[in-house]
Formats: sequence, C-alpha cells, structure tokens
Amino acid sequence: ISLSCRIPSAVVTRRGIAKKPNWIIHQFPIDRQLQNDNFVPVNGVNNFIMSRFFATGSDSESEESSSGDEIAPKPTGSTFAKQSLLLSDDEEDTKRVVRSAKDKRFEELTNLIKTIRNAMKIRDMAKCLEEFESLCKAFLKSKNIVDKEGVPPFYIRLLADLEDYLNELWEDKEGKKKMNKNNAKALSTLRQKIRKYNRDYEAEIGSYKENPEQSADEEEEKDDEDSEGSSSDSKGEKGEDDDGMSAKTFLKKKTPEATGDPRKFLKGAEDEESDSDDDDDEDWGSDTVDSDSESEDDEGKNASLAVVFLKKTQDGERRSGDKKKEKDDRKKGHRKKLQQEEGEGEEGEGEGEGEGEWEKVKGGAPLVKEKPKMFAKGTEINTTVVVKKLNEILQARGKKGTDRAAQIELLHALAVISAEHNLGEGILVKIKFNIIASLYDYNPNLAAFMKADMWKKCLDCIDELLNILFDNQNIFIGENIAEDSENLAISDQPFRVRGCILTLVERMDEEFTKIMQNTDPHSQEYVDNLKDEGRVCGIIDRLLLYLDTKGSTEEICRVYLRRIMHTYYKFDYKAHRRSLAHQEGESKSEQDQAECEGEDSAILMDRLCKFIYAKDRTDRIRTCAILCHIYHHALHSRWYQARDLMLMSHLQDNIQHADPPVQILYNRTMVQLGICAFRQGMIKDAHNALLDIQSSGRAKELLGQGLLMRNMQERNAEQEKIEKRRQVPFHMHINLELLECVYLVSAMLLEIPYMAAHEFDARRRMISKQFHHQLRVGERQPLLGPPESMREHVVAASKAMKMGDWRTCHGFIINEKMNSKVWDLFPETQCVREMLVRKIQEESLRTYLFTYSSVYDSISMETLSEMFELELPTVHSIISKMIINEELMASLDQPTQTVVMHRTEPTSLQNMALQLAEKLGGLVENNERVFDLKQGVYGGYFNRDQKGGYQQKQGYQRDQRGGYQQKQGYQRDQRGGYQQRGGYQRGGYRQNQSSY
Amino acid sequence: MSYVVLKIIKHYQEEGQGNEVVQGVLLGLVVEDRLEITNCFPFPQHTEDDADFDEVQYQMEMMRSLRHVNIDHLHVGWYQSTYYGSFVSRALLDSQFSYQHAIEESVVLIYDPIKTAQGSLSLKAYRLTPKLMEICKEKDFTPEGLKKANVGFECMFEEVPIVIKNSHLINVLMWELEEKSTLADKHELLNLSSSNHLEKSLQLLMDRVYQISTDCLSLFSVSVSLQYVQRRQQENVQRQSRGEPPLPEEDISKMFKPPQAPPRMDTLLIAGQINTYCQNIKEFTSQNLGKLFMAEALQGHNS
Repeated sequence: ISLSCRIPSAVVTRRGIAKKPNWIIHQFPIDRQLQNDNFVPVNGVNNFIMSRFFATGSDSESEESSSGDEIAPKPTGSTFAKQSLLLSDDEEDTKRVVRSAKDKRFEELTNLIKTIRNAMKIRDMAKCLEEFESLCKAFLKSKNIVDKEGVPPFYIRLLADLEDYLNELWEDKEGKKKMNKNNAKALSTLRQKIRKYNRDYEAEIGSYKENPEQSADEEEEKDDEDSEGSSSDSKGEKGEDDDGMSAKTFLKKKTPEATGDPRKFLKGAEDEESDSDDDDDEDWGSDTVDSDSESEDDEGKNASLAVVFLKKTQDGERRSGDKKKEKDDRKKGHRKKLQQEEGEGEEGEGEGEGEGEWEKVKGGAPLVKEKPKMFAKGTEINTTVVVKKLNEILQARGKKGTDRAAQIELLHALAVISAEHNLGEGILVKIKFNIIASLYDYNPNLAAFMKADMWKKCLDCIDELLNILFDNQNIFIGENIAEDSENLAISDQPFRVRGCILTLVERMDEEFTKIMQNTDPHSQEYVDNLKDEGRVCGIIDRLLLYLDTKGSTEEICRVYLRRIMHTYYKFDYKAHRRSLAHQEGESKSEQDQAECEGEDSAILMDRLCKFIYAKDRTDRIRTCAILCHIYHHALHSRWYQARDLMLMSHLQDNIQHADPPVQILYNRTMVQLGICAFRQGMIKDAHNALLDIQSSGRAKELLGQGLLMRNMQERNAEQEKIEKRRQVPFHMHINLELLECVYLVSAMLLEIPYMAAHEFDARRRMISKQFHHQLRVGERQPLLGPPESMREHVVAASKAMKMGDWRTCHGFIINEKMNSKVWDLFPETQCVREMLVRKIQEESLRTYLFTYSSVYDSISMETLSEMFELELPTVHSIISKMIINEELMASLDQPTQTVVMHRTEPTSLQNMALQLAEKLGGLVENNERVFDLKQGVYGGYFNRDQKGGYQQKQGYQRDQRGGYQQKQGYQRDQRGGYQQRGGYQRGGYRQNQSSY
Repeated sequence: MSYVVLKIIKHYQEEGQGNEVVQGVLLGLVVEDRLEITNCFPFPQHTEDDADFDEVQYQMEMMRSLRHVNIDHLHVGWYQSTYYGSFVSRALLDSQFSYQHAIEESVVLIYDPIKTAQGSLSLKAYRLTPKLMEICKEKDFTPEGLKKANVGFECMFEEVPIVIKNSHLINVLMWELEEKSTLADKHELLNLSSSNHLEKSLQLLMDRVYQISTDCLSLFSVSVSLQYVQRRQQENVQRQSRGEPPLPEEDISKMFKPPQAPPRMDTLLIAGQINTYCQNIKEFTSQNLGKLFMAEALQGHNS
C-alpha cells in the first residue's frame, strides 16, 4: 500500500527502457499528474494528453520523434482519441496500483510540484502560474489528509523555493525585459499570489528555510531524476558529436553538472551535493530509498543500454534525445529559451554545436502566432546543424499529429536561415526538395487537392529549385544518391544531393491535374487555375532543358512524355494561322503546307515522340507517346499521318491490356481520329473510328469526362473515387455533342443510302445501331415539331434524305442552331460545311436512285445534276460507281447523257417468294434428315432410290436457280454490251420510245 | 339464311379489326338431311378485366330470350372470322370437337372478311371427320395413334357445302332493287392489284413453313437421341447375354435432355393450315390470272 508515488513512473521508465527513451522518467510524471487531475475518460484535455502520450509511446517504439507540434491544443479527432486510449491501455494497467488516499493525493501534489519546477527551470512563468493554481486546488482537496498528517514538507519546500525564485526573477530587471508579455504578466500575478498564499504557511516556510536539509533527500531524488534525464539528453547530444564516448563517462561527467542545474536557480547558494539521506518523514524515507534504488537501477540500465544504442542507432538516439528536448520546450509553449539555461548549456559543456542544438526551440509554439525560431541565438549555424535540423523536422513527416502547415513553415524558415548564412547551394537544394515534398504531403488523402496558396508555393519552390540547379551546374541530384554519400557542404567538390527533381515535377503535374479536376469547370476559378498551366508547362520545359544535359534516357523519356501530355491536346493556332496565310499568299502543294504548319507544336511533338519511340524501354511511355502523337496529328487534320501511325502501332490489338488511363487516352485518340476523318470527308473512316465509343452509349465514361449515373451496385464508393481520379480535366475534354453529331451525321450518310438499297433484303444489317435507335425515337414521337436538339435535327435530316430531298436535309444539318452547336467548333468550319453539303448531295442522289429507280425507265443525268446541284461529271461518276458495284441495275447512255434502268430488281412479292423458296428448301432438308435417320436403321434399297429421286428433284431446283442466275448474268452481259454499243441500243431505245 | 350471313358480316365490321377474331353462336334446326341455320348471335368481346364473365350463362340467357320471342333456339354450331384463311388451329379443333361431341350436327362457319371485301363472299362450313372425332375422343395424339387411324392433314376437316337461302319476300325485294339501281360499283371484284394480298399470304405461309421445319429439326434430334438410346439398350441386352455388367445409363441423360418429341397433332394442324393457305393462294392467283387476261384482252381491244 505504501508504495511511493514514484512507482508508476518507475514502472513506466522500465517499460520505456525497453526501447530506450529514458527521458520518459522526466516527462511522465507530468502526464500522470495531469491525468489524475482530470481523469475523465474522454474530454478535451484528456484526449490531448492521451494523444501526446500515445505519440510519445510510438516515438520510443519507432525511434522516430514526433514534432512538438502535436502538443498544440488543436482538436484531436475522436478516432484519434480512441486509438490513443486503446493503445495506452496497458500502460494504464500498470499504473493502476492500489494506493492509499494519502499517497494518491501526495502523488498528485508531487507531480504538480515537479511540473512547476520544470517550468521554473525554463522560466515559463505562464506555465508556472497555471500549475501553481492547480497545485493550490489539489492541496485544498487533500485538506483532510493534510490535517491528519500535517502539511507535507515537500509542499512547503516548493512554496519557499518558488517564492525565492520569483523574487529573484523580479529583481532581475534585465531578464524581465527579455521576457515576453505573457510571461511577464504571469510572473507578476504569480508573485502576488504566492505572497498571499505563503502568509498561511509562514511558520513552516520559516522553519524550512532554517533547516533546508530536512527534505533534501527528496530534493536529491528529484535531482537525480533530472540529471538522469538530462544526462540521457546530453548522452544523445554527445552521441552525435563524438560517438566514441561511453555512456558511463557521460553520466559521470554530466551528473554533477546536471545536479548543479536546479541549484543554480532554485536555491542560489545552497549546496545540495552534501545533502544527507536522512528524512524525517518515514513514509517518504522508505519511499525515497525505494525510488532511489530504482532510479539507480534505471541509471545502470540506461547506461548500458545507451552504449549499445549509441553504437547501433546513434541516429535514432540522437533524434529521440533532440525530440525530447524539443517536446519539453514546446510543451511549455514558450518560444524563447531561458537565457540562463542557454548560457549554462554552452558554458557547461562547451560543445557549442551540440549544446546549441540542445537549446533550440523548434518553432513549436503554435499557440503564439509568431515566426518560430530555428536556432538558438549564438548558435553557429553550419551545414551539419542545418542538416540535422532538417532531419529532425522531417522525422515528423507522415506522423499523425504533425501539423503539416507548420512543418512547411519550418522548412521555409530553415531555407531562409541557410540562405542567410551562405551555407551553399547544396543544402538549399536539399531543403527545397523537402519543402516541395512536404507541400505534396500536405494533403493526407490522395483524392484531396492542393489549395491555391499551397500550389502557388509549390510552383515557386520548383521554380527556385530549377533556378538553383541551372545556376549551379555542379550540383548532382539523383534518387540513387545515398543519404550518407550526399555532399552538401564542401563546395570545391560537386554537390551531391539526394532527390529527384523529375519526380517532383511529375507530382506537381499530377497535382495540377487534380486541382483542375476538382475545380468547377464553369467558374472563374477554373480559368484562374488554368492560367497556371503556362507555368506548369514552363517548369516542364525548363526541366526538359535541364535533363537534356544531365538526365538519363529514361528520365528524358519521362519528362518528354510530360511535355507531350501538355502539348498534344492543344490546337496550334499560330501554326494554323500561318498556314492559312501561306495558303492565301501562294498556293503550294499540300505537302508543303503541312510542313509549314508543323513548325511549332507539330515539330516539337515529332521530335519528342520520335525520341521516345527510339529510346523508351517501358512500353507505357511509348504507348502514351504514340497515342498523343496520333491525337495531335488528328487534331491538326493530318489524317494520313495519324491513321498510318495508328495502324503501324497495332495498338488496337492490345489496348485492352493497358491500364485505364491509357485506355482513356486511346479512346480520346480514336475519337479525335474519327473527327479528323470526318473533317477530311472520310465518312466511313470517321464512322468506324467512332463506332466503338458511340455504340456503347457510354462515351462520357469512356473518354473520362464524367461518370455515368449508375446504381451503386455496379460500383461502390471506392471504385467511384478511383474513377473520379481518372477523369480528364475539363479543358482537355472533347465536346461530346460534337462527337455524337459527327457520328450521327456520318451514320446518316452511310445508312440512308444503304437502307434504300436494301429495302427488301430480309437479311439487311444495320450499320449503326445508335442511328437506328435515334430514328426509332424520332418515329415514336406522337407530335413532330420542328427539331430542337442536335439529334432531332439529324433525324429530320435523315428523313428528308430518305426521300432524296437534299435541300431539306441540308437545311436541317447546316443551320444557325447546328452551326453554333457543332460546326463552328471545328477549326476549318467553312471547309467542313462545304464538305458536308457535297456529301449530302451525293448521298441524296444515291438514295434517290435507289428508292425511285423502279419508277423510272430512264433518267437524264442533266436532270439529276440539276436536282442535286452537282456537276455532271460527278453525277456520272456516282452513277457509274453504282452500276459497277451492281447497286443499280441500269446502264449509261453516253450520247444522251441518260441512265437507262433495267428493271431487274425483284419486286417485294418476288423477294418474298424467294424467301419462301429458301425456307421450303430448309424444310425439305430437315425432312430429309429425319427420313434418312428413320430409314437408315433398316436401310433398304427402296429408300436409297427414293432419296436419289428426291435429290434429282433438288438438282432440278438447283438448276432452276442456276438458270435464274444465268439469266441475271445474261442481263449483266447485256448491259456490258449495252454500254459498248450505245449507239445501236440507243436507236432501238428510241424506237421503243416512239412506239409508246 | 342470308340473315345469318349479314349478321356475321355486321358483327365483324363492328368488332373485328385486322387479325382479331370474332366468334358467335349459330342457331337453327336439322331438317331431313340438311342443317338449316336460321339465326345467330355473337359472343361478346370480353376484355381482361371482366374475368368473371360467364359465357355459358350468357349463352343460356340469350337462347332463353330468343325462345321467348319464338325464334329457333337450338344450338347447331358456331362461327368465326379469319385473317387470310388462318383458322386451322388447336383451339378451333378443340372447340369444334366439344361442339360436335355434344351436338352431333354442329358445324363451324368460317367467314373471311378480307376476301369478302375483295368482292366475293367467302363463307365456309367445316366439320371434323369421324376419324378425327374418334382420335379426339380417345385423346390419342401420339404418332402411333394417328398412324393407326390413318389421319392425314387432308382428312381432318370436311367441308360442308353451303346454300344461302332468302325468304321469298326478300327475293322479291332484291329483284325490285336490282331493277331500280344503276350499275353497282363492282370495281372491287375487278381489282387487278394482287401483290398485297399475295404478300400477306406468303408471309403467313412462310411462318408456318418455318414452324414446321423447326418441328422437323426437333424431331430429328429426338430421333437421333432415341436411336442412340436404343443402340445402348441393344448393347446392354447383348452384354447381359454375355454376362457383362450393363453400361451406365447416366451419360445418356447427360448427353440428351429427356427427348420431347414435337406434338404430332400440332404438326398435323400446321400442315393443314399450310394446305389451306396454298389452296387460298391458288384460288386467288387463278382468279387474278383470269382478271389479268381479261384486262389484257380489253386493252388489246381498246388500242
């Protein structure tokens, strides 16, 4: 029962020892105390403590340090709290030792006192005041115990010490001036308070002052502890400075000094070294013995372990040491180090650097919005220090409680400091790398995007970094430069810095995409963001220049691809205009024009892509480059190049194995290719290219331009997120309406004549299902108003075309509405429109001939050319083509320029009869099989005979059919003859005519 | 009685459209060796929503009412309209069988509105042949049963000649009307266009042919599997005689679904329907040919 209040801390210390952050001894009681103070499972304060507790625990375990920032009283999430509760469970168990009420109370008090002493040590008056108040409260609570036992001597001692201390501070005018406002205020309040408070205990204090040895052991214990903590600290410090020293020596060396520490400001001249171990208080006596031995044990362990650690993982050790200090300081929330301590550190150890670090206040203090101070005053700032500092800051990276914004601030400050002290470019580069990296880290979540200011900062940083790299050609950077082979300081040798600028820029590019994805494309914000594209491109360009000289082939390929990705979808208006001007100025051949046009982006694309084709070893980059190249060609209407490239790449065969972003790119490319073909008047190619995308009805999704509304069964939230990340930013979108219109119009131009030609064909196939669907939708409408949407226009036009009415069709396809919706989106609007008109005329002519050829005996080509406003030769060529393709059973009569119909197309009834005959044939065949089977079992002579007879009959039928074909063939011959001997036939024809 | 004919036509005009079928009850009596149909009434078109409508009740009610006004009320059969001659179906067979089973002399009158619209009244009376009656009575539609009865599609229905008689008073009226009226519009009869009708008929014919050929196919597969099973059985018998264990039967059921031969009767009916179509087409084309020749002759004469 009468276990000391120190037991828990000791236990924890042991636990801590396992992983060797023995500063926990130092730290823990405070936590403990606070916990006791308000031990409500989940409230704000507790959470905060827990979280810190948890963090420190994890610190020690992972040997990484968490930055002090987490101590900042920012609201911690409930999950966080829960987790920490869970994790600290076991510790809780060990701490829950059954104790008497007195022990508990006293423990509370001692813990508080400890905190106050710590605060005093670092001259944190605010903290002191706060703790003092809580101490008073705690003391009141334990009133009845105190009544029973009398006022505990340690309490009195604290009161006395505190008063002395405050008076001392009060006298120190200079020191007071240096204090900041908060502290100064706290000091005066505290001084008044303690004066008032101490009046009640005047007698006790007086007796204590007379006989300070009374509770010296207590004091010593405390000192021991302190020294232990500080020794471990200095161990850490020393560890990095000179590893050779053993921990033992440290201890020896340090202990006197450390024990001297408190004395200096607690008791001034009082000498505590000579403290005897006698104690009036029995409980406390036993207690002290216990804890003493324990702490000694600890020391021993610490020491031995420390040796191991120092050798093995001095880095981690150092960190934890540093961190601990940092934490200690931060916790108190003051930004300025006590002068005294600083001086003490320097004078005491004389290890300027190491101790300088020791004293650093690492920008914690997020409470006070002030620029964090990186290094203590007077610290000699050199590369090593800065690197150390940098590492320290970076340790916090990725930690849960890390305030990422503050981290970035810190890094910036560090950069400024290193720049001020002319530490060389190497270190600057290194810091910059890390700044950018932590900027990227700012968003914990992959889906979230950078905020505008972060983004700006990021761009600036990369720009600066590139500047440095360009200015200093002697800096080598690379991913594979090991941390220890870095050369940051020595400037006569080339700098070697670990880090990959390419990765950073790639990441930047991705971030840019993310920003664009997450901005509302119809807002001004989007436009503003888009303006950064220029900068992004600029950076990539510069990087490209840089890597051209320094990078490896793969790196060059990667940066080239980035460049390509930023180029391929942009229409090169400059080149376009130039080519137009060229065209007007002097009519050159198409080839020349293309060359001139390609001066800017085309040549660039060509160069970059060809490099990648030649050098790239990863398939993906090449695939992307090819697709982009094709896209770019198609965008600039270089149809043949685009098509050839597409065919040569054989991407169509294996694109389904690519990853989704590449597939999206492929789809985009195909669509662009189709639109290009359309512009060039290759309707069939356009249709084929667009068919796959359009027929699925998911063009939007396939092009990565938006998610389709689908029920959640088909994809869960996770998938949706992934899909969202694949979306193409708005400025790269392909206009879906344009796409659909192009597709539908090409389908119309193909399908309508085909439908007319195969009206009675039972096995007619649809060329475009989607087009038919649109037609059906149009037919289903009960009331047919004037067309509104693009689709309705196309449907209306199709109907007109079916009748061969090209003027109406033309009116529906090309009008104000359609111009603004679709056609004006093309760069060469006029050309496209002209092409379209011509196509409509031609296809209408064909449709007309198919549909109405049975009505005509003959028709004059002149009439046709007038009807369709086509030149005679065109009409002639179309009709000739139709005749050659056996689409039109007719012949041309050259002298009169007429088409003579042969009227050999079977009527619908004849068609039907043919079909019936076919079906009957099938029936007979089936019947025969059944018959065969039945008879086959017995297989008589008679049956075979019958079968033979039947086959003969069939043969007869076949003959007949043959005859029909012959007849057709004959007609064809005749037609041939017709054309040859036109004159003769004409005569005959005329005769016929006259006879009518 | 022309009255009956008119009533049937009227019924179709009012209620039947397209390929919808109207039906009704024929009333009359048997006189000597002939069946006189003196009256009829339609079955009401009933829709899905009044499912509780009782047809029998309606018929009884109707006949009772007719008896009250002293009209022949003996049930002697029923009538049905048809679409391009497609009436040979299982439903017709069943109902005609039940009629004929209950009332010996009952007939079914088939009225073809389309042919009638073309100018020639098409009304046919059919009865089931005694052979078919027997089969139906025994419900033996297996191929063996049909084979035994020797029923082909030709001898399923027998057509009963129809004589339409008017009362003398009406005849007199007709005479008078004929005298008075100018030349009636009889262009329908001479309409030369034939393709529409033929196309429709062909279409229907084609459907039937397709049906029968699929039946054929399934029959084929059935008989193949049957053969296989038979062979297996034979083999098993042989094996047994040689004292070997029989081959397992499971793989057979795996290989073939339990064979389901197409119902013989349906095939027969389809064949019968095809026959009707063919006859119709033949009739139609021969008429049309006649018309065409006539037209040619007329044209030659004119020019």
